[in-house]
Amino acid sequence: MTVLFVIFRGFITRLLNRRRFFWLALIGAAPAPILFLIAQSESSDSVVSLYNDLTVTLGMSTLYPVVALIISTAALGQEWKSGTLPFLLVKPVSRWGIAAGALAAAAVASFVVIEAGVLLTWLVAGLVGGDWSVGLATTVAVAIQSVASAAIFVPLGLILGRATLVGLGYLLIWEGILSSIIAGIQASSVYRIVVSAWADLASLDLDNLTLVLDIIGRVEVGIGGAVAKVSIMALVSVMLTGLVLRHRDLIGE
Amino acid sequence: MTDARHVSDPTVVATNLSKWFGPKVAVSQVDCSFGPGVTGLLGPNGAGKTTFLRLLAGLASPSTGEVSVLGRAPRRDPSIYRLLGFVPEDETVYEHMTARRFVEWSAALTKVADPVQAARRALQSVELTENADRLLSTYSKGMRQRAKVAGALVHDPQVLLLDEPLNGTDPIQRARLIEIVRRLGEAGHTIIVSSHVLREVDRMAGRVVAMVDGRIAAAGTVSTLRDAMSDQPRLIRIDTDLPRSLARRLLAKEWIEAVRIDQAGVDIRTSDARALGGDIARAAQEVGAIVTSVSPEDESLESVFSYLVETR
Repeated sequence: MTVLFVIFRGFITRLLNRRRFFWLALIGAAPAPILFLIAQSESSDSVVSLYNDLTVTLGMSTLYPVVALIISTAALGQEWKSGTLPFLLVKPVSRWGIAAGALAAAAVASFVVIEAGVLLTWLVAGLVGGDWSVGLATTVAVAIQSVASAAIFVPLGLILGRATLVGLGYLLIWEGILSSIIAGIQASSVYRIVVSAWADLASLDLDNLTLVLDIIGRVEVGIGGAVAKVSIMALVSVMLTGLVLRHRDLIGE
Repeated sequence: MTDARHVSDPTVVATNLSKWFGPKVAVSQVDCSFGPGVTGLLGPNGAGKTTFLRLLAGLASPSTGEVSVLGRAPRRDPSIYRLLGFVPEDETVYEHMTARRFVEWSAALTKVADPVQAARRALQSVELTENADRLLSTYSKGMRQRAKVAGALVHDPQVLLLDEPLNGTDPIQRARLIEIVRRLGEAGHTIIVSSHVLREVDRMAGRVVAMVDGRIAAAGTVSTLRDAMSDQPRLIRIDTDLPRSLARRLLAKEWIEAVRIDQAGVDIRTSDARALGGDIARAAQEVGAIVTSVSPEDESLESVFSYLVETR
């Protein structure tokens, strides 16, 4: 068993405790009952279109990033605040190794929790709309979103005491407002990068496509570009987190 | 006192070490070294012990100066943690882990060949085997301390830094931990243990380094510290059948500063305990008193330490 895996396992066990999983999965699953209720009066085709709308405008824009924010800021933030970080830092493991383990665990934990909700919504779309393929694109997009969110929020949790609050501010102001009105920064918007990957894989009707193009603005549709951008984000995040771990003073007195 | 701050075979060296946080100086120009055996790091709360130990452990950067553990700087070279163990003062543990899991996790991260067996041995050494599969969240403070010690010594480190490991332990647990620390020290490990429970430090440490206000106030064995304070008044208790006569006879000497008489004996404060010791038998013979015991009243580490603090 490699040291990196031991670190990863330690983080993920802590992040995926039962209570946290339950409540956060409920947030991620919120589109499912909404879809179910609205779908009662819709045709099958409309249900798929509705699923796509809900996924993009509610899931990927708000619910999934909030879930990933809460999980990712806790990865190292919880270690720091609870005073257990010294246990980890007095091990013969490079700080970048610890950072990589934390990022991987935060991404996987976020994906698992969000995907539980995605599966439920997928199930509703399949049962009511009859299309069982809709969730595949969402699953891939959630994986990309989980890594991107972990890349931003894991170091944030280590640097700031109120990382969750600051992260919510970031989601609202940067992702929600500024990226909508300033075209020049849209390429750096995680939401838009994720939607661009999702749009590449999902089967979209004209309404959906119009919506997606409105959202992503200058970002080109394509999973390759999204994966490349998120990979760079993850790399930079590991470097930054490693540096913070290396220079952070842990004084208890 | 300067020489006593250093040992001839150092494994841990602090050179001109200082740490400050804004205007607050936590550790100030500490120059000292530690070698195999147990060294007690003494000081009142706020003396800078925890900051000093964390500097040694590489968990904080010095504002000035350097730390060397086995010739390496822990802050820059995490590989040193294969040879270094650290037990933090905080009561915090990984509450979602059992003690066994925590110690196995520590063993795996320190690259021990057989983490399961090493964890079993470490848990056995702190006598936690029976409760090893309970969650750490259910442990008492003393049990948590022992679990942390097991986690720190699972890879058999050459240097072990223990920050107040006796905090919150009951007398039996304390005795066990003291025995473990003594055993490790006797086996040639370098152990630095901070504490304000001075009697326990006296029982486990061959050498004492006293910190006050971030500085080293004194260093050496308990007896050398005592010698270093030879100009300090000492309180000696003499049990005798004729306390009044004996006190009258001894009061003639210039090194007697004060005397308190009761029915069973006499307490004497003297500026020269050695001279008093040499004169007691003669004085008793002269007045015909039977002396049943002579004992220092203030030779505990507490009093040594309070002298150090008061005379700075």
